[in-house]
Amino acid sequence: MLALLALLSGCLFVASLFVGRSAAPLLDLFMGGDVHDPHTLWLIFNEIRLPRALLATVVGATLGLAGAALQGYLRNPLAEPGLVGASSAAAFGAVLMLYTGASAWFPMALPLGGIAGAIVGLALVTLLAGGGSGALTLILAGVAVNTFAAALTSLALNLATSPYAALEIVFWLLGSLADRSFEHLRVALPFMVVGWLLLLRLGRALDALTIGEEAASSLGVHLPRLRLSLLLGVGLSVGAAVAVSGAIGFIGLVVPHLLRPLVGHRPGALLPASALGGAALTLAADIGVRLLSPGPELKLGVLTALIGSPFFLYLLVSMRKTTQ
Amino acid sequence: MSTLAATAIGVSLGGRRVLDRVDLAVASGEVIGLLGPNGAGKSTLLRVLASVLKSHSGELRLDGQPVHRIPRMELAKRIAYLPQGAECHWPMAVEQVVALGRLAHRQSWKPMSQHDWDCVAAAMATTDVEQFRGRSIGALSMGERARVLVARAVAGEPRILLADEPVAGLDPAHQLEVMAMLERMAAEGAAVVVVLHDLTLAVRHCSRLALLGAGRLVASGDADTVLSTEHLRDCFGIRALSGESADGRFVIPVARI
Repeated sequence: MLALLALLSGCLFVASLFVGRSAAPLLDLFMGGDVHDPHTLWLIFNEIRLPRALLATVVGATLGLAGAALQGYLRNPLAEPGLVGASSAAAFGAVLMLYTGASAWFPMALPLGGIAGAIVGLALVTLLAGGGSGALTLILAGVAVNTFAAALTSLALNLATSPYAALEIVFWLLGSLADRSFEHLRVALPFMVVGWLLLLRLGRALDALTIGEEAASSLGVHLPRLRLSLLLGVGLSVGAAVAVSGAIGFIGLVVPHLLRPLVGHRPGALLPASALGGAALTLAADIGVRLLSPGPELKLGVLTALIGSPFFLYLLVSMRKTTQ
Repeated sequence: MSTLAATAIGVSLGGRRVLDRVDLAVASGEVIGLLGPNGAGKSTLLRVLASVLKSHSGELRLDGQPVHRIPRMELAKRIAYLPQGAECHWPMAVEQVVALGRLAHRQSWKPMSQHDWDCVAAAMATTDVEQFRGRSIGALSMGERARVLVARAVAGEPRILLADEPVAGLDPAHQLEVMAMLERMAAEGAAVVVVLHDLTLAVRHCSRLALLGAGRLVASGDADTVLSTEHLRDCFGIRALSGESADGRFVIPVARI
């Protein structure tokens, strides 16, 4: 199961390297064919395609993993990575950089601002949710931070000095992986890796939570520690992902949902599967974006929402049919 | 030989005194039936015994050692707690749910060992859920689900088993079967505390009874002392018909007082 998903991600990763403009010459480059300008092609490959495919992989894995962890913790298949507030806080941090113009003279200000935003948002949620162990306070604190960060983002849009500045912010918020460099990967990856490690360790605790919080506690699960790990893991990884890619919806919601029956509904086993599935789906969607739009490129976040929401409705309907 | 001893346990929840200086000790070989009307504090006491709820006063010792000094995983290996109400949030296969009982026995990344699977199989056999092995727990009836969760608690080979109304929702045959299983576990060296509402099951299958009323321990000891006419009247507000049948004693509530 995991091997199959890894293989799928691997295939899509390779495909992602070649699909798009100048696909044919790129293929020739590797097949040893006759190439007109190998230097430029290598540049395209190394500086544009490779970071883009790598980012799609890690961002997708983050969204899938975080979605699976949150759904497992809340025992609710409708939970998604944005729930703990880190992603909208990250979005606001990045928007602030666009708004102030900091990103114009220092391109890395954008992801760095996003990560700073995610950390501030995360600190706020942790503070609000306190040291308790209940799931409800976590959701409410996440809603509070989400709403506030969204309000601040709207404020930035409202106060934007020119329509172009506003447009730039809106376009960034749509979510995309185009024109990202290795710098982006280098900035975001450490936070993601820390988040992944925190989340992947939670498998057993999430399994135990299936039979309720008190039973899980009697099985040796430390509930407050579990919640803190989850909060930090989701916040750091998703915050960093949003900081480099903007908001890419539905991956974190749909992927765990799709894969859950395939791992026997076990929340622990779902974690690695969902990470691989998230990477595969994001890579596929990013390839789709390049194939579908020859003109101005469709934003990845727009595509995932366009395909994701009807698909999710279809899932809900088919789920209802099987339970009836 | 294992003993779990609670002394002078006091718990307040939401400003209300739920338990007031309650003493209860259980040792290997015993099945203690915890009785009392709704709201008497039975479940709260069981949660304190299971260390999932911290008492505000009093002390809890396992084999003479204060429980807060025992590592969490060690405690989880020795004490199993079966909460009230059958809840299982994901439609996992029955076998996988029962296997959750082995969590504390496994190293973090290690898969289930042969011994783990043997314990799971044995637990499923004693609770008569083997035939559901590969089925989703969501497809079972409430009573069947309750038996699966009993199997989950038993699969950890606990020295101490704390079960909160394990027979609620079970048909009469399976009620008797679960009670017989608890007795069998006690005979094999476990210490069992079970919350019950069925007085006949309590007198028939428990070696000792403890009666809680309004957060206090009203009586503890054998059935005659604990289920006396006065206690039934004062604690439950009922009159009961009791007697002896060929198969053993029975106590049947017949009227409110």
